[in-house]
Amino acid sequence: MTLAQQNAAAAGQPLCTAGFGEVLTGADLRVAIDWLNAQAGALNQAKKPSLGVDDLLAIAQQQADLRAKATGLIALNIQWLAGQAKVEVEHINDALAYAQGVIDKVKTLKQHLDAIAAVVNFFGSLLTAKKIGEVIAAGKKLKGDLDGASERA
Amino acid sequence: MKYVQRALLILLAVPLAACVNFGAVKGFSDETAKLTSATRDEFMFVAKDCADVARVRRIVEGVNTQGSNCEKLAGAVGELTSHTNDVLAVYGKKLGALADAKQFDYNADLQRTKAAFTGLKDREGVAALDPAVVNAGIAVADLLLKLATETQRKEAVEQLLAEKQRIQLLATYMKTFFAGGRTEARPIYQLQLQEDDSGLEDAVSSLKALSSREPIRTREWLDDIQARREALKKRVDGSVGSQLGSAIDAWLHSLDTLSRKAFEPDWKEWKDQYEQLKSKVTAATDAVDAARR
Repeated sequence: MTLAQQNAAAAGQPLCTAGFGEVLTGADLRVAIDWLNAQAGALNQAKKPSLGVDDLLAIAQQQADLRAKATGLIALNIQWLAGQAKVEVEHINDALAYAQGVIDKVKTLKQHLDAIAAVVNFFGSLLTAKKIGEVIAAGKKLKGDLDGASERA
Repeated sequence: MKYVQRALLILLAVPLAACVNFGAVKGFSDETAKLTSATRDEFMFVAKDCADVARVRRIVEGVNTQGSNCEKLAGAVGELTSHTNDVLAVYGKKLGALADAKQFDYNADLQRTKAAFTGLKDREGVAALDPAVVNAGIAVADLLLKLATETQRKEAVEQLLAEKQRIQLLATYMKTFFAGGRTEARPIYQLQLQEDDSGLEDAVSSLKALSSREPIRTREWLDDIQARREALKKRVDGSVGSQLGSAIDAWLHSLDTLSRKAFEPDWKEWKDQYEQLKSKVTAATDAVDAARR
């Protein structure tokens, strides 16, 4: 087992090894892109006249971040190193399904925004990561943050 | 007598076969000018619009859009698209000048464009840019600079048309920007329009929530946003991106035909292709004009 695979196993997500020339592109991440945009759109429902200005601005910022990540993912082109671990579309879709479960469970706006922020941070790492280890670490952090939000719900 | 006629025919045919169809070259140049003008206008629109939307959201909602796609349009991706369009435009102008036997002097513009392409190669954080497109831009700018001092029209046209592969690469990059490529990925142009519209939709919902606090300013902003969304909708409904993509496709086919037929006496294939090119470029420019109104 390679070091990357050990890391992956430790993260609880079995990762396959990349073959030569394998890439992860925006075209593969349609589900994630649509999910991010849908989350941003859904947040409009939370903007009520009774909401405080700070909360309103927090929602707006989260929406902008979600949309920016969605558009950023479209241009994504990660070239995995042959022989090292790779993240597959299924891993990302599973993570989003997990996040959706938490979002469905949370009761307050803050918890909702925290869960969204965790997902935004994960995609921020995916978009800028230089090594697979960074993506794995971001995945672990996402799960930890979502579990935290879920426990507080 | 028959031998004399045949000899005369052969003598006539030789120079005909070696002639350049400058009329075809000029027609291609004219359509290139219209097309690159339309693509430039639309690129400028989309780059400016996303900056405007970011400004609206910053003022209305205090949103910081750092790291957004819009920044890429203002950065390396936008620069590559803009310079690629410039090189294609000058390529068309050069062909037109040769067809008209006129002087051609775009040296200053070309030097700037070449330097910009070279700068993109050296800049950090632009790994997403296709180096083949950047290199093609440098090579074509180089050729155009070299030809700026050429006096032999026929040889110059030959050299420009021989550069077909690099030109195709550049034009295909432009097509991908507006209409997408072979993959299922949506084109940057369309994505940016969608992101802008979604951002404005989010701003509208924020304004509605704030309307009781700032009724007059809210109404002013809602009017402003409504006008922006209409401009975006016209582009989406008018299929501006796909029309530009079709026109670039026809341009690519025309370049291919012209490069094969410019030195042949039988120009029928070119004429058919040229009619298609004109019709697609007209449809695209009409779509851009309609979106602007």
